[in-house]
Amino acid sequence: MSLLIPILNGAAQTPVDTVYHSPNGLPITRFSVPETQPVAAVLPPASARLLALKTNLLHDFLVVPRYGFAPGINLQLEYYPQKGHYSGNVGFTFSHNQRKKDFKFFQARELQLELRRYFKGNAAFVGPYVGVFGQGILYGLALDKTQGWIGEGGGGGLSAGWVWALDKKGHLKLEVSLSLGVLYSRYDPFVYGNPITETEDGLYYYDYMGNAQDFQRRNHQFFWFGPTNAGIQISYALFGRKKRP
Amino acid sequence: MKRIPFILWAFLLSLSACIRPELHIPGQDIVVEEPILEAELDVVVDMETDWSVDWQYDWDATDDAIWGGIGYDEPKGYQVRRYFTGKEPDAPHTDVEAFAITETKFSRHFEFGYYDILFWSDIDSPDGTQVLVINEGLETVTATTTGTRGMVRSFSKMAGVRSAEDEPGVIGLKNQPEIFYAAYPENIYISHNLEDYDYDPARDVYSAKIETQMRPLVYIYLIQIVLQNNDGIIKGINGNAAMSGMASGTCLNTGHTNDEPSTVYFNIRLKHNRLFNDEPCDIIGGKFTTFGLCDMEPQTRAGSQYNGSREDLNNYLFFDLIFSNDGVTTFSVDVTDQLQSQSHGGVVTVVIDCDKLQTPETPVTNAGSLFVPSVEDYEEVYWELEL
Repeated sequence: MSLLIPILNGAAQTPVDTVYHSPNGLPITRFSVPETQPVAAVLPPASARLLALKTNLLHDFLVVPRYGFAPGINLQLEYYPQKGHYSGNVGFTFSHNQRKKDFKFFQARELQLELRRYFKGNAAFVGPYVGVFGQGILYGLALDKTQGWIGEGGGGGLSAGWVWALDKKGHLKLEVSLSLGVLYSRYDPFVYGNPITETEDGLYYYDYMGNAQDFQRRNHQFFWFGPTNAGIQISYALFGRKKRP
Repeated sequence: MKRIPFILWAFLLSLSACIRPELHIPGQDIVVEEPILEAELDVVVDMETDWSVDWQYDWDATDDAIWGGIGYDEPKGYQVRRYFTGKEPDAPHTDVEAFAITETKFSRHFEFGYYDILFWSDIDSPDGTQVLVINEGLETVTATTTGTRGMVRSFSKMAGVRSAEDEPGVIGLKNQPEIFYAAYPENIYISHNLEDYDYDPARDVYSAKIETQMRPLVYIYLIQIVLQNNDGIIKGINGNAAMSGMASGTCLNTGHTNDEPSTVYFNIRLKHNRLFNDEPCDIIGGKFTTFGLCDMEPQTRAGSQYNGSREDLNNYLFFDLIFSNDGVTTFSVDVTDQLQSQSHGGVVTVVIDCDKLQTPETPVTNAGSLFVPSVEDYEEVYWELEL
């Protein structure tokens, strides 16, 4: 571990390359490794991990105005390359809340893909980062009998955050993040009860009064520019890399 | 490892397929037949002129018997022309459905699409001799009147064009139109949207209402010619009177009058020993109806100032006076300002000081010698009846 630290800090340097020529004339580059430098110094750290399993606590324990507590399951996987500044993150949120007695629904499926660049290099994956992301979402929301929306959307933007290692090995991490971008959605409002006959027959209907033959789904839309996500995330690194021979 | 993306995709897909609640399309079991449109007609007459104050002729039962009432009467029936323009508003009319109604409401089935509907009131002629002529076209319906007697007069002077001059001739006069009302709501959209209708379970129909305001397209002017100091100078009148420079027709769709000036013939009656502004006098009174001044917008408010493009047209009031020696002279008085300031009807007043009138030296029946009164703007003409 004492050797790892200067490598992560970028202090270790690759020795000058030595160029040979193969029998067919093509140059062959080989590293000349000083005998005093351990081989492990140029390989990924022994504790480096391939993936981190994460969850966004804000999605897991979400409180929605006019709805209340709407817990969900957020799972993310962050892929750590062997070296460099970049990582890839994929996250999925599953929220399936319904209070039929109160005519309330809060259901969402969100998929987010993110490419991050950590300011610290050498596969440290801690500290500040920025990223770009794209997301898709399905949702069904209802606050009462007359206010319900169901639809799909997608968008993208920029993200930023900070990652702290919570243990010495760096397996357990805490992360805060914020995403800014655009979100476009097509949706349908819906209501409880038939809006034409104004009868409550126990069913939910599209809030549409026109001719049924002319009905088209997702006939409404909205566009949002601004904050699209926030996170307080706990991650745990999985699948340690194989050490080089 | 290669299977991970597929596993993830299948996982997400399965989770995404169950967003609740399950939604239904309302009205799937409802078949919308042609809805019924219920039209309500409201006749609006906005007259701010206080005839009882401004008009001191003192309309009596005899006048009423001769000319009918001086106000606007409620129509007794309506003509309806319904134009279906299809799926597009403002489309040209290709067909018309004509029918009549006797009440201010009617119900009728409508197809989905756009409609223009023209309403006008039936003509209620007291003697059954309607002079109003309705000229129907697919795009517009216009109204004119039949002709009546003639008048020898320079056409340019009859039309009141100040700058023009031509030789006198016999000019036909127009009958004054009967009062009627019209309304033309356009682009009435008969939608598929059930929200636009009320459902009547008793009749099992979807219905909607349109409220339409009908406004008069014929305006009323009350004439009073005050004869001051008439100590037998004016013996009487023969009842002939006319107003020049009036529009000869109007468009029922827009209420806009045409640009063809005409002279409207009407009758007058003399009453002796009246008071005008508390002074004794004789008063000649009359009522005439007209489409209005040329190139004029319909009534939006009473007494509105004329805003048309034919301010160059003068309005002359012509009337015959019979002098004590039986001589007849026709006078014309420029009342343009009075009519333009009351372009949708009102009271027109002319005051004559009989002391300044000169009795014709050679009286001739139905004609008068040229005469220049002392009152400015008076001109003399004589009438010739058209046989």
